[in-house]
Amino acid sequence: MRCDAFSLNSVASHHFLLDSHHGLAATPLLGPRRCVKFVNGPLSLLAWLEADVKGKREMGGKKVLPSATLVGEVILCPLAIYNYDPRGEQQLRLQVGDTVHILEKLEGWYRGYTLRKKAQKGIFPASYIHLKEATVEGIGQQEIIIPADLPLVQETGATLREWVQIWQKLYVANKITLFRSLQQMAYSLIEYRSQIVSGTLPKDDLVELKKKVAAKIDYGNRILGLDLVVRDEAGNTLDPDRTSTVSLFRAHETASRSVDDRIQEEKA
Amino acid sequence: MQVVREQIMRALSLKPNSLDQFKSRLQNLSYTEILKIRQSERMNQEDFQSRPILELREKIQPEIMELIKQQRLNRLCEGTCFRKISSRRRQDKFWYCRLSPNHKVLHYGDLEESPQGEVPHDSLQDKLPVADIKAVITGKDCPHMKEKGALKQNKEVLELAFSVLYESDEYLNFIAPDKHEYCVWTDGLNALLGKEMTSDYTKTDMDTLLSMEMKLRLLDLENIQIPEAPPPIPKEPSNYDFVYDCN
Repeated sequence: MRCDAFSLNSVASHHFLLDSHHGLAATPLLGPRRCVKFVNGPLSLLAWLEADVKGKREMGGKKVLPSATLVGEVILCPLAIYNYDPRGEQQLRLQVGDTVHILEKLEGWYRGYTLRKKAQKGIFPASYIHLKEATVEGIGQQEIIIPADLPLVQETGATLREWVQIWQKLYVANKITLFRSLQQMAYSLIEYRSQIVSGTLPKDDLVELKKKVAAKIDYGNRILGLDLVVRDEAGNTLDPDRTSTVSLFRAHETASRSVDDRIQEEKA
Repeated sequence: MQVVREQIMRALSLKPNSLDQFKSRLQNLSYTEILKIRQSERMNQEDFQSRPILELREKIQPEIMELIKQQRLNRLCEGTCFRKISSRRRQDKFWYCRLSPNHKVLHYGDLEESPQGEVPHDSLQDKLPVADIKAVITGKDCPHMKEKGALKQNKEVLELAFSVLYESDEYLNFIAPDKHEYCVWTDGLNALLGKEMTSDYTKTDMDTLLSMEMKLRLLDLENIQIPEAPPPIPKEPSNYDFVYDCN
């Protein structure tokens, strides 16, 4: 899972709820009618909004003004806050901390699946799920910062999951040195991520920390032989669709070089 | 604002007796202090005793134990060089022991000198089918530790000694090169016998692996309150025709 840099520029006034995985989206209506949507992160939200905006333009529908306002309530990243044992065939087992994808809702139950076991779908009580709400407001190109859901935070979470799987394999194969380095890096990343998510960092510290996180992720991915993510100076991931080939190449070169330097430092 | 609130809360909780004391306590709780306190709290978060977290830990524990078992068996398959301490001769002899890849046979044999790397099993003369192993014995109960001689006096050796009992009265005696190998081999042999692994290293490995897994599972739950008791379960839905709720 790689994250894209983003900015908001869309229109429509509504509450909305969406599972972008299945592309099930009720058309957002302008006006008082409201829908509640679940989104699995700001990226899917934006992808959906952009598709929506493009769609409108193509359909020659109501003209979309770049300076229009988006106001809405988005519920991001539903989480299980308690263990749930299924009591019937249709019901899904939940473990505390599971991220769930909600497809539908009825009478106090949700139907969906967990990130851990995507193939298995079932129902579970809504009371066992915490819905992190975020209000999204934006005018034109202004970026909205929701600290817990910064693309970098999402990326850190995904990287950690990938790394820990590898870390366990290193343990079983008895590759002690790499096991220990990876352990240290994972702990650092976990700590940095907590700091970012706490929302208590002043802006400058946040910028510095983001760079540290990006550098650590890149270094770790490199020594594990994983793909190198291409970023800008601030540590945001570059979108290959929107960045010129030359800029992409330069950014890749710079990233590669700084990882090499770091590796040399570690050796010395 | 959150930090300011936290500073005030913490200063108040120290129950200052006057406004001046309050001010001085506030000063001690500078921004960096708060960050440090939060960090150490985060580190200790898994000691947090809430019920679902404890349940989750118990659930994951067997999965982690399986990883440890695989690691031990892999190590046994790589094999280890052991010393044969003889009370008569001055020089120690070496021998090598390793488990076959299918975990069914222990190959072992004498070596002329200490090997540089792994020794392939075809160069090891003897073998012992795992199915014949009856028990693993450790420390002073080992037959080679009961022999008279200088050996018995050496406490260190006692802690590294283990034996495998096969047939009804035959023993294969080991003296591990260090504590780590001792733990790996006794754990591995116990695992082969279907018994619990009980070495100190199993405990530390379990802690390390389990705590990382728990941190990962609970990553997103940081600022969220986990309920004390299980939330109420609604009655079953009247029908299973779930639809989008747009109201």
